[in-house]
Amino acid sequence: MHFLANPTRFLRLARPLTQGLMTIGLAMLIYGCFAGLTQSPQDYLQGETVRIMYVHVPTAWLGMAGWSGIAIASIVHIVWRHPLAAIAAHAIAVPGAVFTLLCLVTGSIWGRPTWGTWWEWDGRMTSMLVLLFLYIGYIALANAERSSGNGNGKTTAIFGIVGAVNIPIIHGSVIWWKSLHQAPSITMNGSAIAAEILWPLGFTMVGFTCLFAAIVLMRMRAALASTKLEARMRRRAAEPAL
Amino acid sequence: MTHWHFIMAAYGVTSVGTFGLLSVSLMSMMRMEKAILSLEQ
Repeated sequence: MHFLANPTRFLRLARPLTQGLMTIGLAMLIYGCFAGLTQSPQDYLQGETVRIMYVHVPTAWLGMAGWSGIAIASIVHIVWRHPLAAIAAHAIAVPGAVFTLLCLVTGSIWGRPTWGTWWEWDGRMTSMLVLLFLYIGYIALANAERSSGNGNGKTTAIFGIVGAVNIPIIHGSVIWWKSLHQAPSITMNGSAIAAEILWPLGFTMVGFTCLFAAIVLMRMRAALASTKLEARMRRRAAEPAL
Repeated sequence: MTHWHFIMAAYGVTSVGTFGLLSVSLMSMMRMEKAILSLEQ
């Protein structure tokens, strides 16, 4: 981990990784969506709408994984003062919020033909909406701390760690409370979904995850370049005119 | 509305969100790295 504390070393690794993740992600995603729309059979109960699963489940996973990433990076930032940890946490926030929003929208679209309603204030949907608000709060707090110029990122990091309490609530919401949302279909004991319906989900899960990682790396590279640019401009402005 | 309208809407929204975010992040990164390069030269 400390190996990557040096931005130059990080960039040397991040440059080829960004391209590789983007290429693999796009290929897996396009094939997974194609297979999900044309190659897998329809569900005996839900019919064709089961195909929404191939985009809904990965967006839900990335919304939750994104916040877990923010919490881990925030702990690293506070405990070890790793210089890239705060940059990584901030870089995850916007993609995490976008994927949480996509999860809510695709879930709502799936709910209309399946449950007969666009929205229900049940545990899973409400806790996912809370996650979106947490992301929005985190982004606002990070921006405010950055623009004030006197913050060391600690407040944002603490918010990132405290907000992680919502992740087990999202996971447990369909187990603890009565919900329109189905219970987890894929557990440590196996899958309740037939293999012929399940397999394209593997492609879209890996595809979306690789794209998410590529987006985070791009945002980290942009943030590092922006910091470097600001430092250069400041140094240039401070140089005495000849 | 048939089920396919809902499926297409879900895939459409996801594509716009994912590729929109990907394009914005890629352009922002390229703009910043280009600015650094031009300053160094």
